[in-house]
Amino acid sequence: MADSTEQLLHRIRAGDAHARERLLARYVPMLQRWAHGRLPAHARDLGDTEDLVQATVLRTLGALERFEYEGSGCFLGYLRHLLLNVLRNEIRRSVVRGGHTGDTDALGDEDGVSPLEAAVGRERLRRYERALAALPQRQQELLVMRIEFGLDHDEIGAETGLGRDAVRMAIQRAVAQLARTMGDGAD
Amino acid sequence: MAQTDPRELERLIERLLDAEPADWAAQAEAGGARRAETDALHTVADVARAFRRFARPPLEPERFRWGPLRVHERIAAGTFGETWRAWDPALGVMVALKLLPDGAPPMRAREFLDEARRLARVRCPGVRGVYGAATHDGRAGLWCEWIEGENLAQRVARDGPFGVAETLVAGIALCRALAAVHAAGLLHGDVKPENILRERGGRIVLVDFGAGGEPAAVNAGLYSAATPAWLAPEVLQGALRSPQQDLYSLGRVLHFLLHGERPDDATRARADLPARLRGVLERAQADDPARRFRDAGEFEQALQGCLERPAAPVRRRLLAGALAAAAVAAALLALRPWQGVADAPIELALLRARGERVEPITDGTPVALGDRLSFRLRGTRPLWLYAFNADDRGELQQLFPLPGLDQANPLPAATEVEIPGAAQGRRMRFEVSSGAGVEDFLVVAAAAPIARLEEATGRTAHIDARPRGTARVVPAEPLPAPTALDALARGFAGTREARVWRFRLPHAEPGPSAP
Repeated sequence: MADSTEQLLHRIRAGDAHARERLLARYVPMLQRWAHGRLPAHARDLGDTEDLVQATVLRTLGALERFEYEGSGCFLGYLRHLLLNVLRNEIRRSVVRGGHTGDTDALGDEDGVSPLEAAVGRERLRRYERALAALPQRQQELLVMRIEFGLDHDEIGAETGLGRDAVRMAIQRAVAQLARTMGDGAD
Repeated sequence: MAQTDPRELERLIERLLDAEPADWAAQAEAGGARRAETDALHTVADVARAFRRFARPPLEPERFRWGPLRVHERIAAGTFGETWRAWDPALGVMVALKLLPDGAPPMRAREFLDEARRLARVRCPGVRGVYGAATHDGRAGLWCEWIEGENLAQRVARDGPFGVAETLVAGIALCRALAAVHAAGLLHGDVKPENILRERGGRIVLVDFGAGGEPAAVNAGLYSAATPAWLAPEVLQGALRSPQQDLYSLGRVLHFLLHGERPDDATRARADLPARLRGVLERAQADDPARRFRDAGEFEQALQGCLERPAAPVRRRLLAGALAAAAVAAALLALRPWQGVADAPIELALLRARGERVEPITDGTPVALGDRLSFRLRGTRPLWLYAFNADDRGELQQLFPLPGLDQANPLPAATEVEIPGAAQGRRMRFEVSSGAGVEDFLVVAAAAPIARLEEATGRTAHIDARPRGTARVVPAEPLPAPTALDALARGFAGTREARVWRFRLPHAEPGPSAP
């Protein structure tokens, strides 16, 4: 049985280098894929998305004392939040360098949309992001784990300590709340 | 306009979370006061689908390398060896890697690799595709398609027995899978719910040929890894194994799907089981082998006959007229040998649905996000239809035929059919859910199965064999040229074997009339 994130974080705080490697191996590839989907075409030649992700995770691990694990899969949500800000800053910098103009909040510009925007549509994605950000933290984390990172119910259960059925029900409720919030903001 | 039942929203959420297809257009049309929530769920489903396309990396760290594969996680182990989840960097996909035990005798390794080569001959979306077989670091192994889903035993344990329509769809897919296996000169040997996977999205896939192979080799062995509970009675009495016994086992599997338990004398057929289907299952599981289906094709025909296909009066009138036309065409065709369909009267139209308005469109017509597309086809003889589009890398994506769809080849003569049609009774269309680039379709119709297309649909690692729209990640850059679609179209240039249509639909920003 793989160690839970909470156990790994605990061991990392105690100086266990192996646990640190395990955590990096667990999250970095997942976050790299996630980040790639959010980069617009002109920023994809930053080429060092992978380094960006790795650096963000390493920085986070270096400042673990500031992070309090709340036992609900929030480490992944926390990393996602940090990375989203890092990506926005990087894109802003690349926009300045390349003379692009655009809306960095949406992680896209007029010339190149991110793969995620291309698949979903910019306005629809914006509505999703806004509604997600308006949900309680715990619901956000569950949705991000299931929808954006594709973890299954057992994996989310391992992260959150909830049973499989409880995870399923909690996610269903969170999606329903997300849809209501998005619907309210559609007018 | 009807109000959406709150339970319908719950069901939509479940489908979304299980990555199941949903007819969002129909839901939106019936959305009523909850239209905004339905639209929101559609957006969330698209977000989830887009992230799935970014390919999920393994959660477990890399354990070792085997040849070109990065091996991550052990899934199963037994006397046969081990199954691992691995990453194939060349294909860019997750694969299932089966490795013989360390130190297996050379003879066994040779047999194992021979078996893998034979399996690689089976080309069918309903059979797990084999990518390769080799020996690295002294260990023989084969790597094949990774299926993200669960087996039918798990599915029934979790959700209870299948409905009648769902069982029929699964049964038909499995008949086709077994037909492909048997046509390759192999038998599966252990058809049971645990060896049938249901991929997320509904594709049914036959896996694990550990007890199968060429009949002569299987019968030469003294030991079988097959599970007795699913075997034909004559096998348990020592009869030689044959492909027909796979069909007996399939009959038992279908019974299990319908009832949630293995058939025995005490099992009572469920009340909603149509008499015709009951008859099919009884024949499939007859004690006397002579009473059973001769082959998988006959079994499939019998299951097809159990699918309810309600015909509207208007359709019947159209059919009557078309049948007369078909009779004339058939009489004309009788005057000369049938050579192909190049000159045959086939009508194919591309339809675009926006809201409730459905209209035919032509090659070059711009399409917008949310447009739903379908093909309407009518021919004077049964047709094998193949529809493809290209993904953002220019690689083929099969759109039709697909497991899970109610329609399959051959499409009936003298009847107007809409592709993709329905999945388990729910009307489906291809939805434009990408915001950039071009939708590029190739449609091929022929009077007989086209071997290379049947092969193509089973071979490539990139086929997403689920009822799906054109939902895909399309970059702002144009498609690479020449694409696989161009190559495929060129293969039909000048041939009389098939009729070919090509539709390139540039993307446009949704206009004010688009919902």
